[in-house]
Amino acid sequence: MYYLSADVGGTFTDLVLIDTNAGRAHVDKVPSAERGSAASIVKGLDRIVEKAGLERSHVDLFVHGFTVGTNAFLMRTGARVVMVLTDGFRDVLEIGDQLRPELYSLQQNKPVPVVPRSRILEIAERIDSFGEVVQEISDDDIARVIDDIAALEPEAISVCLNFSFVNDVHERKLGEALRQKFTDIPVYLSCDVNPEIEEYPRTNTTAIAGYLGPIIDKYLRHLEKDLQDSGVTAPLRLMRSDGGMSTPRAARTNPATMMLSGPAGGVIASAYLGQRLEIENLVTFDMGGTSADFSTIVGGSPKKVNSRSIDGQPLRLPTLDIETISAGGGSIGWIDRGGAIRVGPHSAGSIPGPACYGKGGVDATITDASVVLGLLAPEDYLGGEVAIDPVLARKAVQEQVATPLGLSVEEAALGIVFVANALMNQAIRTLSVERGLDIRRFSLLAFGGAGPLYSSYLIRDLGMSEVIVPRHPGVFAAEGLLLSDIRHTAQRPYRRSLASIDQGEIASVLADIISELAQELDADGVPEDKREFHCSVDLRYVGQFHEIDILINTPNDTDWWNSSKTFDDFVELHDTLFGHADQDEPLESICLRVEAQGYIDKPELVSDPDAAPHAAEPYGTRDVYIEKNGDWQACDLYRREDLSIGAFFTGPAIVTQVDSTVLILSGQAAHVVKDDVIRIRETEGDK
Amino acid sequence: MSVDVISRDIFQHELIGIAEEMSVSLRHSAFSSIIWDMYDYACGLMLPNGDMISQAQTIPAQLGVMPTAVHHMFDVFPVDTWVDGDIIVCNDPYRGCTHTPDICLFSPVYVDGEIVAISSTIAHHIDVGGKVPGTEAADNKEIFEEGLVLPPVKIMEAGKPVKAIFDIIANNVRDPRASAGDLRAQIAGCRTGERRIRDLCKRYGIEGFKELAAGCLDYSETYISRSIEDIGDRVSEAVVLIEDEMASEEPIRLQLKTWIENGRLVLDFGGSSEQRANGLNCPISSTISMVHFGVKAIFASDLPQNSGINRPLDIRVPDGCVLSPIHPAAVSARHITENAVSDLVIKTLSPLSPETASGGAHSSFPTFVAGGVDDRAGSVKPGEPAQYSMISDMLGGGMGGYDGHDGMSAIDTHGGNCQLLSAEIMEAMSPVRVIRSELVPSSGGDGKYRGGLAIRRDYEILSSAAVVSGYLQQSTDETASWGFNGGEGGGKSLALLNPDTNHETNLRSKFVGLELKKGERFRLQAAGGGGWGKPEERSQDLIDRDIEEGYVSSV
Repeated sequence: MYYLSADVGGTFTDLVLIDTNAGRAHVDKVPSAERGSAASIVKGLDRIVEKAGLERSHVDLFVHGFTVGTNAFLMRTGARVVMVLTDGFRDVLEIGDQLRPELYSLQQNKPVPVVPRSRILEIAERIDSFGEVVQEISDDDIARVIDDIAALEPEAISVCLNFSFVNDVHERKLGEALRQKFTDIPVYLSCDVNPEIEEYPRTNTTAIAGYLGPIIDKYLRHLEKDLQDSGVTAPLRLMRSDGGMSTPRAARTNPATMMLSGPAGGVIASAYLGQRLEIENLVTFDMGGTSADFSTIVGGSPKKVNSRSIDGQPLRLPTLDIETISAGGGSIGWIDRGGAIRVGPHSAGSIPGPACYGKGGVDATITDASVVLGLLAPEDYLGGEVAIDPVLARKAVQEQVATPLGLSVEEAALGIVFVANALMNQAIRTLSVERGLDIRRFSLLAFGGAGPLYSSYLIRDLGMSEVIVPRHPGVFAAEGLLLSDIRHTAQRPYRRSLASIDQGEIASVLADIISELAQELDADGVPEDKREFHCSVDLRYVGQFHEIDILINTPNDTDWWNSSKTFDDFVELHDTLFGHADQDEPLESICLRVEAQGYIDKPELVSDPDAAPHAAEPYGTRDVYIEKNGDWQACDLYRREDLSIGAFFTGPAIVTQVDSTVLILSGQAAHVVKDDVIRIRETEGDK
Repeated sequence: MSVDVISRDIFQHELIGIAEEMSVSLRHSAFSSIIWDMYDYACGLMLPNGDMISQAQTIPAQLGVMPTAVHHMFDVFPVDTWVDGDIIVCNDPYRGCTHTPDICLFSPVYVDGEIVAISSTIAHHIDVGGKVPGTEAADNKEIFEEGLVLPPVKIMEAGKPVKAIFDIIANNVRDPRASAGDLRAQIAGCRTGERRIRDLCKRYGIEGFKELAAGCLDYSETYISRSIEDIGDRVSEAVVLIEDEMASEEPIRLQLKTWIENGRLVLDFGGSSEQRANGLNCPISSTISMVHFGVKAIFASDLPQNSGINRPLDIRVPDGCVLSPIHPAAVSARHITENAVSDLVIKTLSPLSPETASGGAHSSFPTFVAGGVDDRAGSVKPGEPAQYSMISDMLGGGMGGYDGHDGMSAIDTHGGNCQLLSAEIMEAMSPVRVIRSELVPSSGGDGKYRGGLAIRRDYEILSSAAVVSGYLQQSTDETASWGFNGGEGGGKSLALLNPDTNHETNLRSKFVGLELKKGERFRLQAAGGGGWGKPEERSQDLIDRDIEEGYVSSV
């Protein structure tokens, strides 16, 4: 079998081809085409298939992760959406949650809603909180709304009516009328996209579905055509925000699930690598040119959330729990009015890029600082594909930071790197403390072009156990794309006191959701023996507002429902998350959720077992400046392709490879283990 | 300054991290939604001399309260008598705290037998007794109506709970379980701060810790000093009026004059109204707190909070005025006045730093509390009596326009940072329905860049009867938000009973105990933000957009 994946980023398109017959992986990188285009995929596909000596038609499965949705959202280049909301609620997107992005500045802006006020229509209707119709939706008003919509020439229509998650009769009636009238425009209903209480997140999520729908549809049509034209017959699968896989059909049904397709692959790959290495708890650290993404794998599973904020707006769909900070290789170091070094949030981006790229950049970026310190060098930076000039890097750091502060250029460069590290330390700490995790028991899995360069500082600062560097850090996210399964999720409101839940009733509601999801899996062509359903219930203490999602059994004929076990599970998790839990307080359920999985055959990665330890041979040395009040010191250089399993060496050392650079500090030791993974640990006690 | 820049900057980040970690651990173990969802709490670290070295970003209203209060703790318990594991509690507005619901804790951080720091948390408790549920009542006349007032006492002694204090608290509040839970969360927050400061001292040594902390304070002082340098010999003064309409029909006058004297920024509140016989009086720590907010907003919006920022400030408030009331004046609705203090500080400083300023913002605080038996058919369980239910809401308004951009609409401004309650949640939890929730067109003050728009909500009572009380500010021409640099002031706030009917009635800025029947409606509307720059300079594009989007009602 041949499995192919492509991860399209801003700068590069990463490809991985796994040949299960030969048990090996081919990796490649090609420059990305212009934003929103899939053109680089076919180019890269041709190259990697040729390198592997295959035909394009040999590929059995093609999985794709993409940032088209994220970019269209962040840059506000999505579709022209018209929304229909309940009378009186036209401004729900503009009002939002009434919080300001920054606490103190008098000069700030809120992110603009994806649907402007002028394209939001109201319709007279009202359903109460118990689902009773208070005011009927009228055919006349529907006819009026249809006329108004037509005049606005939409590319997509989104509908969100109050309390539709309890009773969807008005939304369905309106939706049907809209679909009959506008046959070639997609219509998204909030009772399909996100049937949960609270009008703002539900409206925004439904608005996003409309905003991304036509964009993603167009992108997929091009991609499907390109693949077909080039003779690829393998089925196309897409990475979703929650780390599940989607068919193009399902992606079109709820495009909002594709918003964070891009960074999900790295987290899935991390969980898989953790399993292979038998490491249960990981912090993932993916650092590229403009940002650093962090996530956690706890007990072997990636953490998921049912809602998150993106660019200050709620997206209430299951996503992997990824935190992003604006610290990437291109982030700019600067001096504030009080004489402190700051890093970011501004980035030199890809144009002009870091000063050392020689494209007119004058700001001192993290990359420039790293060049000054000898961590990056022209001869091995990105395999020589991007030329860098140390003189320009030095000049930028000297002028922007060293001179104003009266520091040496090395100390200034180190200052930039250390301040960036401090920001990343804080992100990891917050991520772990917020979730009640003790990071000292966690390994840091570093990938992306820049992750492995700074990770050995982070474990030292945070007291984490070790750094894990995969064989191909730069294309690691693309590898993750091949390791997922088809996933669908659905939920129903279900408000009951836990003690009074009737086994028969809850079983029938769950059976209803399961049959809906089974239809999705049918449509995706997943055979029955490759399906699994996981059920859960959102519970909370009566009168409190923080609910927790608790796994329950899938209904069967016998006594599957265990109310007291569910209660105990809730109490235990509540205690972990919030530090206290009451054994006597009654619980109530809010909604039922089901996650359907359709298993996809995965490539069997065979790797050489651990081999006898042996000392690695450096190919040379270079002077680096890596410690405060230190000095220039000689640092061993290793080529990644020369490091075989079992190799060990001690810091200070740098491992160079095409897609990344790995730094090992003095006092740390590196050991190459199975799957060609480098593990870096402190040799002396806790520093 | 002896510390090197890089070490200091890293250390600064670590201090912020510790305060944020305290905040997370407090929030995560808190019981009440006022902490969870409204962020009405604070966490910070001080040196043993009371200098604040770090504070978490929760709500701005608590900036600078801790250092003011800790000196009152020292008066009762000199710092060398604090034992490892002690925690001191206090909520007395006349001993540096703010209003009685805000309970403050302080604990020493011992390293090798020496106190190196003080860890502190403040949380707004849902109720601390007093004449009304929730303790706050704008028409209180004396602090004795405002529930339990704890002087500085030890609530933990050498790590052991002082049962008597916990019992006194439990016996004086309406929801003892919530209070106990939130106190426990505050203790957890203090302990997190202690533990992490000890880690830091292990890493840097006690001497290193002290030097770096001093370096951070010096840095902030330098930052602010450089920011105020440009003021030179300019003097600025301003007045902000706020509605009273309880103790007096005369508005409360807040007045401020500011200038540089010996390199320090003097903020003189002389000329402000005498204290009033109502709960609008603002205790001195809250006044100081909002001065810090205003100065930070104008001069250093992204600077981490520490006492160094305040060294170049000389705050002068006459005793007995509404901003430094004398015992036993009531203070429980001090947040209304507090927001006006930040507004005044910003208004006074804006001409001295126009490049960071904006038009005046909404600080109208439109709030209501409704209580009654929820006898809706769907809420009553067969065979059980209908349950009593209480709900409240608070609306945001417009921020001021500024050079280059219109002000933000629908924002909880200044001292607050509270989410708007979802209409669906309100109706699911209580017999109150939101009929409309919308922006108020044309409520932003005109200008080259106009002010942001206010929120307006209409509510309907769904149960047989309910009692509704509420208040708001900025409801008259003289109290509404102000324009800057030629811009015009923003739209007024208002409260109406039975809006858009033939028995529509204007409500006063404080309305108490309104008895409403099923089907009756009321409206709350916040204030708009002030404009920036002359309206005639507004670009045609922006004018067209306002019409197209309906931000301005077409005439």
